[in-house]
Amino acid sequence: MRSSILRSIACVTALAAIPVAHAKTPADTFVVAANLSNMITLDPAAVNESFTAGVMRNVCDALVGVDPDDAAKLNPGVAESWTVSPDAKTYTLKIRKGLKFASGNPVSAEDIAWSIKRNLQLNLANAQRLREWDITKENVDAVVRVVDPMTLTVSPTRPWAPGLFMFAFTDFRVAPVLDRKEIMTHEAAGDLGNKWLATHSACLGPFRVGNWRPQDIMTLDRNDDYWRRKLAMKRIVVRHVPEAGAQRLLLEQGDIDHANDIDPADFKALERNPNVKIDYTPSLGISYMMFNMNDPRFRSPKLFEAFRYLFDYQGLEATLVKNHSEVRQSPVPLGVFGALPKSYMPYKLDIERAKKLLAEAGYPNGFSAEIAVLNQFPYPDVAQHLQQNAEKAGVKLKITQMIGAQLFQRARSRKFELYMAGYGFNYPDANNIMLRHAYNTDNSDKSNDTISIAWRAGWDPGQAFNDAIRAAQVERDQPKRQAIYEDLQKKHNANSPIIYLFQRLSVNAVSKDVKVFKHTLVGDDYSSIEKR
Amino acid sequence: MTTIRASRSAEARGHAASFARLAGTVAITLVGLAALTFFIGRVMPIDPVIALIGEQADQQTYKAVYAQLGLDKPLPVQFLYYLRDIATGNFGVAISTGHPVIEDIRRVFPATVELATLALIGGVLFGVPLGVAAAVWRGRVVDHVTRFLGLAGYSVPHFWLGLMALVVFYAWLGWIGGTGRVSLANTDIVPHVTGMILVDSILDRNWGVFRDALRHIVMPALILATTTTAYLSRLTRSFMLEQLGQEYVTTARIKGLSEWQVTMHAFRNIGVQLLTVIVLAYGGLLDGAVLTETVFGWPGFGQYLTSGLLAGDMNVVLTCTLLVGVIFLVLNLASDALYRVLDPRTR
Repeated sequence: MRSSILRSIACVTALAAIPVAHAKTPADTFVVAANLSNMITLDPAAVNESFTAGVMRNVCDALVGVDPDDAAKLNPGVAESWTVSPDAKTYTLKIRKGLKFASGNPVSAEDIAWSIKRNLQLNLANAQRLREWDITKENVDAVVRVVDPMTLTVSPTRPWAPGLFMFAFTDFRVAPVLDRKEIMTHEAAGDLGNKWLATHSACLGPFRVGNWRPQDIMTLDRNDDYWRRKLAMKRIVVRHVPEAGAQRLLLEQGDIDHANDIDPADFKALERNPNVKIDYTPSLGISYMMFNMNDPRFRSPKLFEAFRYLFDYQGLEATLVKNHSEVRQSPVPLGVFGALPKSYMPYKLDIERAKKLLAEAGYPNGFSAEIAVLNQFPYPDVAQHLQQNAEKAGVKLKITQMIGAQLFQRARSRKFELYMAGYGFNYPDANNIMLRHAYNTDNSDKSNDTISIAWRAGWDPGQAFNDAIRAAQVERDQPKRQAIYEDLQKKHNANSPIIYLFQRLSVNAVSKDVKVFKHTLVGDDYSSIEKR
Repeated sequence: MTTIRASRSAEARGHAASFARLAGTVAITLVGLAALTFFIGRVMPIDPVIALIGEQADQQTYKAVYAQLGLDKPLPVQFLYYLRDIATGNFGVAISTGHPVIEDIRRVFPATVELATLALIGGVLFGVPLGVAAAVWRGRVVDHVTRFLGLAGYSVPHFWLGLMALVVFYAWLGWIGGTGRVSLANTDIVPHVTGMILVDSILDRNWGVFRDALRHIVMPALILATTTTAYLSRLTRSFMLEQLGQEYVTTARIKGLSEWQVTMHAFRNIGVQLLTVIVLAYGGLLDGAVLTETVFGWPGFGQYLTSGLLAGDMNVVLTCTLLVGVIFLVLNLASDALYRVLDPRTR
C-alpha cells in the first residue's frame, strides 16, 4: 500500500517536472492578458469601464467611424453616408445595404432608432452620453426618426456645429447597432434584454462575443461576413491576469501576444527584449488635481496659481511618469480638436514664486490639508512629489489613497479638500472636455450636474464661460470654434481650482510576432491585427 | 417492554432536542454573521452605485440605480429584505460580474477547493513530520531548521514568493505553466463535472489536460502550503514536546522501548489536537488566498470576494461570508465527529 502511494507520488512529480517548450500562440489567434476585475457588463447601454469599452468597440460598430490616423476625420461606418440640412437641424443617415447580424436578421434603421431609445429607457451608465446632446427620453421620438428601413433622420433640438455633432454617432455606447429582434427574444421583466446582453453580444462588428466567464476568460470570434475588411484573426482571447508582473512574464515567454497592464517600471526591460515590441501613443486620458472651493479656505485664484508652480513637470516626465504620461498643462488633450499647441507650457517648478503667491492668497505661513488620491500609478507618487514641494512652501499635505468607488463618491458629494486623479474623455473634441471641466450653471449642492468636474470643485466659472461653451457648440466656422476653446483654456488656467498635469500615453506591449496592431485615440483596433 | 419503549422514546426526544439546539445555534450564528457583515459593509465608504455605473454617469442615472439597488430604504429594512431573499434561496446578482452570486460561487469555489486541498496535503506532508522531528531532536539542527522554515513560511509575503516562483520555474526553467488553471489550448476541453480540473480531467481520462493542470496548480499550491507547513510544524512540535514530557513516556523509555516506538506512542496521543488544527488550517485555506490567486491569475474564491468587496457589492460579500461561516461550522462538526472515532473517551 505504502509503496503504491509512493509510486503514484513519484509518477505525478515526474510528470510535472518535465520541461515543455513554450508554445507560441496560434497564428490566427490574438491572446491578450488584462485585468478583467472591472468587466461588469457587455451591454452597450451600461458599459462604463475603459478596457471593456475598448474590447466592445471591436464587437459593436458605431454608426460612423473615426479615422485611425486622424481623429478629427470621420469615416463611413454602418451609416455609409450622411447629409446635413443647411440649417444644421436635420441629419439624414443612409444605412449600408446588405448588412446582417449574426442571427441572420438584416440591419435596418429601425434597429438603430430602437438602440438609441433603449439606452434612454434603461437609464444606465451611458444614458447621459445622449443627454449630453440634449436627446432625452421625452424628446427622443421626435429627434430620432425612421424614414424608411435604410434611412434615419436625427433632428437635434439645437443647431450643433456639424463637425461636433457627428461625434455623437462615433460612440457605440451612444448609437449602437443592436439586433432588436434577437435581443427582445431574451427580454426578462421588461429589461429590454439588459440582463442577457450583460454576458452576450448582439451587435454588428468585426468580432462577436464567444465565451465570457467573469474574472477568468473572454473569447471573441471573427465575424466572417464583416463588411469593412477581411480579418486575419479568427479569434481574440482575453485572459484575466490581474498582476502586471505576471502579464510581463507571459508576454516575454510568448504565451500571450499583448499585455494590457504593464508596470511602467518594466518598460525599460521590455524595450531591450527582442521578443517584445513596445510603442507609446497618446490617449484621451489626463491627470489633474483640484481644490474644493466649497471649503472657504480654498477660494483664491492666487492659491491655485501657487500650486501650479509646485510641480516639476519636466522632471516628472523624464523620470517618474516616463513613457506613461506627457506634460499637459491645459484641459484638452493633444490630438483633439480645440487643443492648445504642445508648446503651451506656462508653468514650471518655482517654489519661491509659489511662496509669494501663497502669501498674496493670505497664507504667509502656509496651511495643512488632506489630498485624496486615486490609489493607482502614478497618482500616489505624484502626490508625494507635490507633498515634498508644498512642504518647502510651508504647506503640509496629508495624502490619503482611495480606490475608485470610494474616491469618486467623495468627488460626487464634494467631500474632499484637495483631490488628484485621472479623467478619460469620450470623443476627440474639446466640447466634451469643456462641458465637464468648465461648465457649471448651478453651483449649489442641489445641482443635478454632479458629473461636472467644475461643479465637484465648487468652481462657478461665471455666465461668460458657460455662454462661450454653449456658443462654441453651435459655431459652424471651425477656426472660430478652435479659437473659442483656446481662449477658454487659458482663462481656465488663470482662474480655476483645477490644475492639469499630464496626458496619458497608451502603452502597447506586443509580441514580436504581431505585425500590425493599430491603436486610435479611442482604443485598440483588433480588426487591424496581423501576425507573422 | 413499556420501560424499554419509554426509554427509547426519551432517547429519541433527547436526540431531537440536541439536533434542534444545534440547528438553532447554527441559524443564530449565521444570521449574526450576516447582520455583522451587512452593517459593517453598509458603513464602508464604498459606493456600489459608482461601481456599477462608473464615474461619468449623471445624477439622473445615479438616483435611478440607487433606488433599483434598494439603497434608498432604511438599513434594517434592507437587511430584512436580504434575509427574506436568502430564505428563499435568492442570494442576488453580483454587481461585479452581472451573474447570480450562487452561479459565480459554483464557478469559483471548485478552483479554490482544488488549490486548498493540494496546499493542505503539502502542508501536512511537510509540516507534521518536521514538527515531530523538531520535538524529538529538540535544540538540534533539525529543530533550528524547522524554526527557521516556520518563521520564513509565516513572514515571506506570498505575493513576492509567487512572482519569484514564476520568474524561476516558469520563465527561466519552464517547469511549470504560467498563470491561470490550464494553458490556452486546454481551456474548456474537459467536461465540467466537479469544476476541479484535476478531477474532471481524470474522470475524462484526458491525461494531457491533467498534466497541464498539474503544472499550473503545483506552484500556487506549494506557496500556499508554506504557511500551512509553518503553522503545522510549530504546533506539532509543541504538542509533541508536551507529550514527550509526560510520565508515560518516561515509563515507556524505562521499559526499554525504542525511541521510534516512544515517538509513535506519543504521536498517537496528539492525533486529536492535530486534527483540530489541520481542520482549522483547511478552513483558512478555503477562505481563498487573495494574493496567491492574484499573482497566479487563479479565478478562485479569494479573488471573487475581494473584487466584490472593492466594488461595495454586498450580495457577493454577504454570500461569501455566509459560505465561509458554513465551511467553518461544517469543518468543526466534522472534526467533532472524528474525535469520537479517534478518542474513545469522547464517545
